[in-house]
Amino acid sequence: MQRTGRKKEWAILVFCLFFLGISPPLIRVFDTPFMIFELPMSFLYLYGLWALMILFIAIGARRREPQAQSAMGMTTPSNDTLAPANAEKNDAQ
Amino acid sequence: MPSSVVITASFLYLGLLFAIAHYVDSRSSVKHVLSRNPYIYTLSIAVFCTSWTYYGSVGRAATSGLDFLPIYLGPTLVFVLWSSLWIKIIRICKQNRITSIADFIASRYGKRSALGGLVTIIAVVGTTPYISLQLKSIATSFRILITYSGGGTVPEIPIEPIFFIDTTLIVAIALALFAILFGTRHIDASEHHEGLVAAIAFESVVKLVAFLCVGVFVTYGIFDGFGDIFQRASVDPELSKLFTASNGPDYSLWMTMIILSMAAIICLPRQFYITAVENPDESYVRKATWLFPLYLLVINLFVLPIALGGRLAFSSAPADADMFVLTVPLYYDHGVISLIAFLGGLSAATSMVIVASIALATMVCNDLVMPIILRARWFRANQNADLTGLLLAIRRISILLILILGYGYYRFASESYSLVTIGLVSFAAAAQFAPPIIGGIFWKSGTFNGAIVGLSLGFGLWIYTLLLPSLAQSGWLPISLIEQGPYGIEWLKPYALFGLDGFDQLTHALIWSMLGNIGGYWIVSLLSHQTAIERIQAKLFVDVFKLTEKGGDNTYWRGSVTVDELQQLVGRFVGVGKVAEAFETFAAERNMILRKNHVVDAALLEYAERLLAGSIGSATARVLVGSIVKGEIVSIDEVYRILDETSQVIEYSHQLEQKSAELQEATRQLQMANARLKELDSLKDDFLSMVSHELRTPLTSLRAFGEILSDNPDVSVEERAKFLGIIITESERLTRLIDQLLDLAKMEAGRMDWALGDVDLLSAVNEAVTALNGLIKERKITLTTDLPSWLPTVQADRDQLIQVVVNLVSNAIKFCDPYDGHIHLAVINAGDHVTVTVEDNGMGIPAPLKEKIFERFHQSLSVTGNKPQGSGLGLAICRQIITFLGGKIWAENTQRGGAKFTFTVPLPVDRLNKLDRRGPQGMSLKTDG
Repeated sequence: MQRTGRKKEWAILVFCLFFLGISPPLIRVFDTPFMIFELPMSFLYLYGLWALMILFIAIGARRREPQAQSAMGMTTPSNDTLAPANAEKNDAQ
Repeated sequence: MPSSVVITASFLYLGLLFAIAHYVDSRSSVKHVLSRNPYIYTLSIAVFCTSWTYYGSVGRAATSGLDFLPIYLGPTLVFVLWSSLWIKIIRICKQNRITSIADFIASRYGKRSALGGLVTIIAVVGTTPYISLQLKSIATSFRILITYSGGGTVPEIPIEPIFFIDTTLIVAIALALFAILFGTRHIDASEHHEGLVAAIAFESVVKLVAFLCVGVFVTYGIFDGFGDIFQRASVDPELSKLFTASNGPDYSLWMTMIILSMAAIICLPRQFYITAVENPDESYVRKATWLFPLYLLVINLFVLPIALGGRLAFSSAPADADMFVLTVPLYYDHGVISLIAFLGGLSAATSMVIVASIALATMVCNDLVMPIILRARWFRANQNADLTGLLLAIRRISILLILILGYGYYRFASESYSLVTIGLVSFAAAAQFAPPIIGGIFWKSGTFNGAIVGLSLGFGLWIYTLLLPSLAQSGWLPISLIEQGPYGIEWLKPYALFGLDGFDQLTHALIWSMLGNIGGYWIVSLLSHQTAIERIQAKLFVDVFKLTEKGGDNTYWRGSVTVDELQQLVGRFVGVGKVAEAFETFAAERNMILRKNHVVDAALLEYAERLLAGSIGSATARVLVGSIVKGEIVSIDEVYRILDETSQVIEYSHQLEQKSAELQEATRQLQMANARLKELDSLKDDFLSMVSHELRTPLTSLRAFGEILSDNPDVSVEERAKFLGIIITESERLTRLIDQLLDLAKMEAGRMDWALGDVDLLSAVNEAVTALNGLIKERKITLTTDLPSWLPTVQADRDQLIQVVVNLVSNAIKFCDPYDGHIHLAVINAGDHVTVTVEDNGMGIPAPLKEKIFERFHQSLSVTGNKPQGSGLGLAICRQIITFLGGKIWAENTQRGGAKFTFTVPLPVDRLNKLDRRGPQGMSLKTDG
């Protein structure tokens, strides 16, 4: 899984999701006093979305272990094709 | 609860804080462990949660529902963008030794103190309501706690002063003293205050635990869990309104609060200070980025339950919802829990007041007071006085004044407002810093003028639309200001400026102030020009990643100040001992020795400026360093040279182009070499087939005649003689061929044994002709010669010279007209050399082959067109010989259609002269032979 270097893109995605989630068109849908599982819908929605986003941020902020390798992995798209070849080589060894 | 218990607990708590800070600062090992880890860092960022969160959120939730949440959702949103936003700001702060938000903005826009001063004023004025909020909450909670008599009754807030003076004033002074003790122990504001950070982190734990205690107590102690509270509240239509974020389809206030809190988490002076300036290691942000939002989530989990619990408990009588956290446990007669709640509130308020007042005092000192003092006439930068004491005094007084200001605002304006309303006024002020900060780190063209115009407009509109009306509502200004507008001008009404109606006050203020701020910043930036230093700073800020990753050079000082002078100057502000130490470290790092009378280089000046900036701010530091540097800021051209990255890029691409051209050239040469190799390869193949063919023909006849003689012993004597003659001729031919091959190989390898001597060319030519006479006669060829009567001798190898003539003449015999052959041989004395030409009347040489025929094994087709004649070595050998003798050989076509071979041999006089002239080279030529 090569995702390093996409931190920024991931962050932008999470930002947009979260921002849309708490902005008028969407929040209007969920912002009702209607009770669900004994809790108000808005309460559940806002805290749930918030918790989910924190999880997403944590995923985005994870430190990749093979730092140098994955950093190189993003330089060119051709590495995608190189990676399996390397893997095979390693397997062979 | 007796006041002595509360006061003792409070002072014990504050003492504990001080002890923690002191302990951490004095033990370096503890300092390392405690301050250098991401969890302490995260907890210190949680200074964001103040009394506002602790008491105010519950109050807000109890009156308008879930709309207390945007204040925490906004920061979460900002922390999503940690890698591109926070890391950048932190990196810039570390690179430039930024001490505060004012320093940051001033530094970005050319290190001019005017901007730093403006930012400081906005920050102080903007933070005042926020501090008053903390004072109010502490004082109110304290009064409630000590006056409340017993359970079951609705707590009231006593109005009368305790100890004959206002509690809030006492609190303000106590907190000021505490902050002074806490924050002004060191001079260098950009140094990390590990003790302070550890204490703030501890406070974050305390307020979280305390709030959770109250939350759990209310939710599970009084009620039966979340479900129970919500169930009970849902019965009351008034309370079920609180389940939602907005009562109706209008979310403008909700969005305004999200945007404000997003700006606030970056722009509040104390947040900026704790997150960016006090950050010990960039990588901690990676952890804090999700831990801090998690902290916010957890501390907000019980807000709504407590608010609903309070509303349910005090449904009979009105009560101050802002104090539910305290009053609900009191109402149910749980003294310990209410004391815990009070301490939690105290910790929330003190952490904010301490950090904010320290951050603001640093700004006031570095960006407001010091620039004025330094410019004053009575102050001379060149005097030798220790100014560290002055700096400390300014900071201490600033802290005191800031708290007094907060108290003043509390007295004048905020008593009638809820905590959150007061806080939001502050947020709106802090948000004014967002355009110059965000623009400053992502947009290089933002200028000093743009920033100052934008900030002034934004701040002015903030005062007009939020601060003045709040004073008017408190009765300090005529209320007609709000209702009719100033002097009765309708469209200047502060809450409906230019007729903008239908929004809440906060949204209205945000719209106008941001319009003025961003618009002013943007338009003026594009209309005004950047000075050299603004350009440098803009580049340093915007390209901080690029520059730090390749170790950028931002030296722009060039002057003739000595090390001693510089050390004295810095020493006065930072402390003499510390500076000596710092200079030594600097020298040690660079392996150089600093002598007192040496002229400092740009790097040391830069370093000194940063040292100074650490204690008095970058704008002031620049003025100071400028005051002693006798040179001047480097010329615009040089600055542009440093700045102009495009030129580097152009240079780089130029180099790339050059490289690629070189590569192309190399490729072309390789291709040529390859073609040549292919040609040589095919030549070699031809050569081999030729050699084998040439060897085979005589060998075949040798073998055939040998077999005949061996198998037929009765061959007649004549025939035997004839056959033996053929065998001998063929062996000779074979020998000749092999000799030629060997000769050629030797000549090409330069290993030929030349028998050089004086040769009579005429006799050599005659000998060659004589040798071929038989053949000529046999073919019935007419040979004419044109020889001079006498020729000087030439320096040559006689046998080889004869060989050349024989080769040429026999070539002519082969290729001349087979029926009426004519060969003309001429020798001409041309002064410095002799020219020998051999002309035939054959078919001539095709023009492209004129050179090729001198290569090995090039064979021309015979006149009959079948089999190539000869070995193809003759001309190659001729060329080798003539070249060695210093002459030239070439072929051309005669006008009559035949071929004409010409060679020259240099004459001895010339040759001797040449030898004399060349000296050793000539000798080497000889030895080579």
